Amino acid sequence: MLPQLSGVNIRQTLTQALSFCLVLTTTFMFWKGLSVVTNSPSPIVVVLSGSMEPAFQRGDILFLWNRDVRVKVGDIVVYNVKGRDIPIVHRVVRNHASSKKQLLLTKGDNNAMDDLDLYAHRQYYLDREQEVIGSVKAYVPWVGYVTILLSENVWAKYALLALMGFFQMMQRE
Amino acid sequence: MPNPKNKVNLSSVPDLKNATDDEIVQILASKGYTQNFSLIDVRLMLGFASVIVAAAAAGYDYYVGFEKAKPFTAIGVSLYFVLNLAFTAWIMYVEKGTFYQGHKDGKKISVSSSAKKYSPIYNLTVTETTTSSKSSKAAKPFNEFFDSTGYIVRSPLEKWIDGLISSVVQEDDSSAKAKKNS
Amino acid sequence: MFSTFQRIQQYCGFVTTVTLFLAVAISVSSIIQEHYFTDIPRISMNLQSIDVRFGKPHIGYNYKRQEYALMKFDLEADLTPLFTWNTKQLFVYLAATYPGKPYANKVVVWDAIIRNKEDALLSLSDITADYSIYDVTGKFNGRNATLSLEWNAQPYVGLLTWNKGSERERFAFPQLTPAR
Repeated sequence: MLPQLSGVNIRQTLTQALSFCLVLTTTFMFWKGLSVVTNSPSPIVVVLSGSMEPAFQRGDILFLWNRDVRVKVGDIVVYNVKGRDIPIVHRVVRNHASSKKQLLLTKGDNNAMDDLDLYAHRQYYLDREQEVIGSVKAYVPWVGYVTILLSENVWAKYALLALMGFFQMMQRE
Repeated sequence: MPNPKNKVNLSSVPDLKNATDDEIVQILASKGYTQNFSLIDVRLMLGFASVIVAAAAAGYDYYVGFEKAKPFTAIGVSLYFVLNLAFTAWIMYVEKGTFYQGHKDGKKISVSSSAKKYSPIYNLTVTETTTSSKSSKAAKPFNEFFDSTGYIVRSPLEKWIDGLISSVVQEDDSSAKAKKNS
Repeated sequence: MFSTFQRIQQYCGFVTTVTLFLAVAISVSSIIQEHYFTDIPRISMNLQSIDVRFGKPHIGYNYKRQEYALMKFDLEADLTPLFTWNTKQLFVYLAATYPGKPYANKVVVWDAIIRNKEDALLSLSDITADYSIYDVTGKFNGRNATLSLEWNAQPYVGLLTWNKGSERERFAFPQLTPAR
């Protein structure tokens, strides 16, 4: 009788583990799928700074699209300066386009100066293909503020993960 | 005697159904039935296969970077959703609520259950799967085998399933005996 | 305790679903309104003067010494029809487009942020451009250029839209003003 029951128990544990894993992997695969469709490594971003106010506030969520071969003056783009990790969300104020590449100058609406000082030394323009990871097409206010709280408070992140795990264990459907 | 860990949430139909299913599995084990895990194993394999695909896609993307990994990520995502679809189809169309398959003395049975959302009724079906695929369906409200504090009570449940099993298995025995005698 | 927890859970789920539907409904309806039910704004612009000088276009260590152009213009525009109930702001900008080898070029010379309908009636005269134009090659060589007024409507929730007026003001870059 005992070996029987342990067969049941192993499978019960595996089934619970599977439900938990599937929640994580499905979310992750949706994110990666969206990434592939929009051609952007980060198709949804949270606004972290006030440099685009009053259009965007900290905590707003932006939806990106990266399949436009050329972006236009007036578009709002997200870019990574070569060698730096933090993406910047600013508006394109200048554009020089040839058949081979597109050079852009950006500026935050709320900044007095354009982004020239943010670029690498002796870099006068952004390269659309190399450094732009998407242009903003849609916008949802405030919802992202939770992620800012999470990233700025280390304990909040662990608390949320513990809470999610606890709720998952409490239900078995 | 009741284990506090086994207390069931009386306002959650899924919890009630799962607890009843588990109790039936234990009852059948105590009666000498040997469980056949093939349905469950296929489900677990499909599920974990999709998890592995997701993990592989994630790992490759992490190490090689978004641009290089893009074609593989696309394949990975598609494969993941295909496997997940197969997993869901397996549960919905093949398992169809079956939570136990087993045999004793050469007779195989299959037990399935269902409970509608917010309904206090537990539907139980026992099917004989060796020869006749005769099945016996019955429904009882959960409160016939749960006490008011949320603990399951084995004896009414055991009596019920005994009755259902004998209605599908015994008739075969009597018809076999009748054949033998004639 | 169990049923309270479940009630809270279901309530949260319900609120989330309703909010989602609301957001989608707002976005879709304002897009439809913008597309089919707004009048075309009246725009008139006039380039008063344009001056090409040599030097650093702005203060800052990253600017090279090169030809740059400063403009003065008048602008009259009635942008009130562009405001819907889902319009958070209108980012309006005047852009100069000019050709080149190998680059086609477009530069914003002036911009403004309009936050409500009352401020959307623009009547500006003798405005100096906020930004000077300087080219990738550092020289203009008397090229022809076009000014156009364009805008980006930012919603409270939903899709951002871009559009432009049909009026164009044509001009040519004058030769370099000799240094005094």
